[in-house]
Amino acid sequence: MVNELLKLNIGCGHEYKKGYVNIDAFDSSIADKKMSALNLEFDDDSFTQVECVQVLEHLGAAKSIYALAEVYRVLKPEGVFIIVTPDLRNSFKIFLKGNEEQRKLVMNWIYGLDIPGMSHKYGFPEELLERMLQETGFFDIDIKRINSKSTHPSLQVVCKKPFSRWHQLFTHFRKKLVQGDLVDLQNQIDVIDKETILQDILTAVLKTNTARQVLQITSTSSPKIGQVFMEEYVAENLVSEDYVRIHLGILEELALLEFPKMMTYLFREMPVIPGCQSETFETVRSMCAKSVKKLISGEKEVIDELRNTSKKVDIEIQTIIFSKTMLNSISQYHQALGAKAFSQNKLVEAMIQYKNAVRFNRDNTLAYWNLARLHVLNNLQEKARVCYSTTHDLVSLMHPKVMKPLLREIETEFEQAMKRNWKHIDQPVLSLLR
Amino acid sequence: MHMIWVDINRLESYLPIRLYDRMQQITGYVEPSRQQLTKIELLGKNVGLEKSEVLAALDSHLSTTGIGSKSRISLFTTIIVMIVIALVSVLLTWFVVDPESFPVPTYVPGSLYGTISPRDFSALDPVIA
Repeated sequence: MVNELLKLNIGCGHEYKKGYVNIDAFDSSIADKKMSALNLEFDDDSFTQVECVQVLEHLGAAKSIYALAEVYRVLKPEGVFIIVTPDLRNSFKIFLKGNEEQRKLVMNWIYGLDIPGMSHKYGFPEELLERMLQETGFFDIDIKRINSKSTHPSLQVVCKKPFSRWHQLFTHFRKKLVQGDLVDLQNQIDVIDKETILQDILTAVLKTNTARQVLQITSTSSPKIGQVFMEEYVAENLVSEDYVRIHLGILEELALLEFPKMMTYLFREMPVIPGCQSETFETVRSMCAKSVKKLISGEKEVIDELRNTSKKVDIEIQTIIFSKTMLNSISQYHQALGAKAFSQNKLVEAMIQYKNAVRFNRDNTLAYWNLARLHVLNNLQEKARVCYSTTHDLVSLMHPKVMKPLLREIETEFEQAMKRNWKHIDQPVLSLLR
Repeated sequence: MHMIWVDINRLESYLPIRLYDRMQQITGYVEPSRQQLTKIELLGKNVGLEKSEVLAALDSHLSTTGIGSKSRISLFTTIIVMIVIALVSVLLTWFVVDPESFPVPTYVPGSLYGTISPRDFSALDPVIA
């Protein structure tokens, strides 16, 4: 079927296009086949043209990255890819200038309809669309605004697929990550966090094509992702197995030892210097990068040390990545548990949770503020003073836009607390933007 | 303050340690204490690093290392002496050369090279005569 019909229409809905293979993930009544844009059941280089009309906005930002990779994979080199998606700029213009009826229609155009598969999860400004297409590997990208005066303004993008073995390899690599549950497409934060590593790998291989670079990038961020890439690299005959044996071996060992988890443990154990989250993160990464360098140069005792340390790791979270986002998520989780315990008057438990929140994010202003309150309630005045002072400094450092009223509030609260007026501090501070 | 500190941090190797510490205090920036450094060194051992390797990893992030205090003072003195020489030179030039004629104006109205004015013609008259 594919060889006869060389054009693909993704997300056809009720519009069957003649001369195309029409697919849809939700509605199979009209489509030739019910199929997700995230897993196109076609061979590589199958189509001369792929159309994706009013589809990306239903997928959201994270899934769209993987859908574009799938389109790239099934498109023939020099094949054309056409996207149509709501034009946010003109939609908002019409909303601001239009009458009530126009505003209603434009709202549906921006947010979609509350029917399975019909709601919109994200909007794509043209610069984002262009960047996503470039990062997937498309070229000759031409973006036009269509239906600008109507209540259905859209962006129409036409681009082409070049002949690039690297980008093709990358589409297979992405597929492997999804199949191996190494990327959770249901979790936008997870996808975007890992996308940074993927883009770093792509940039490195396009520039230098060296396994060492891939090892450097992934060993201290996600050895498992590095391992999958390296295996795909060999499987596609872009490099000989002998050439990457050492690098692949190190990545496999690090993945086995759950190196990102070990790094998270080291990070937690590092001295807590308020306001130095970034510096502490880079220090841990730098130390581990030095350790990996020693592994490359064949120092066997390093692996023994790592094996011993991996036995000491007592962190419960399961992660294949060491990143600032991941650390912040853990910190937020402990902070939420702290707030719950504080609200339930379990002050000891609250103190433990907030201290953990600070260990995973040295810039967590809210955790310091709550620790200050807990110290006051526990009659630990000196510790409270230090925590209030830290909160004060962090607000100036991290939140300059809301600084003035917050600083005043912290100063007043500290004065009242020292006078043993605890009226307003027997509950947690839940947000800085109250 | 953090942004200012990032810039000051770059000067670390060029300033005497005491002056640098004073600037740290003023900007409210904190670096690891000796005790904290010992803890970091112990953590470094967990990933197979020597003490010197841990310090090298710290250098650009939570740094307390850099050029030794004697070298810092020599470097700082050299920089200060050069700045003083430059300043003195400018001031001397200013006093020795008449400030009115320095810099020498060329293309100003009323001069031979600027807008033509009657004064220019009167200056030329004796020559023509």
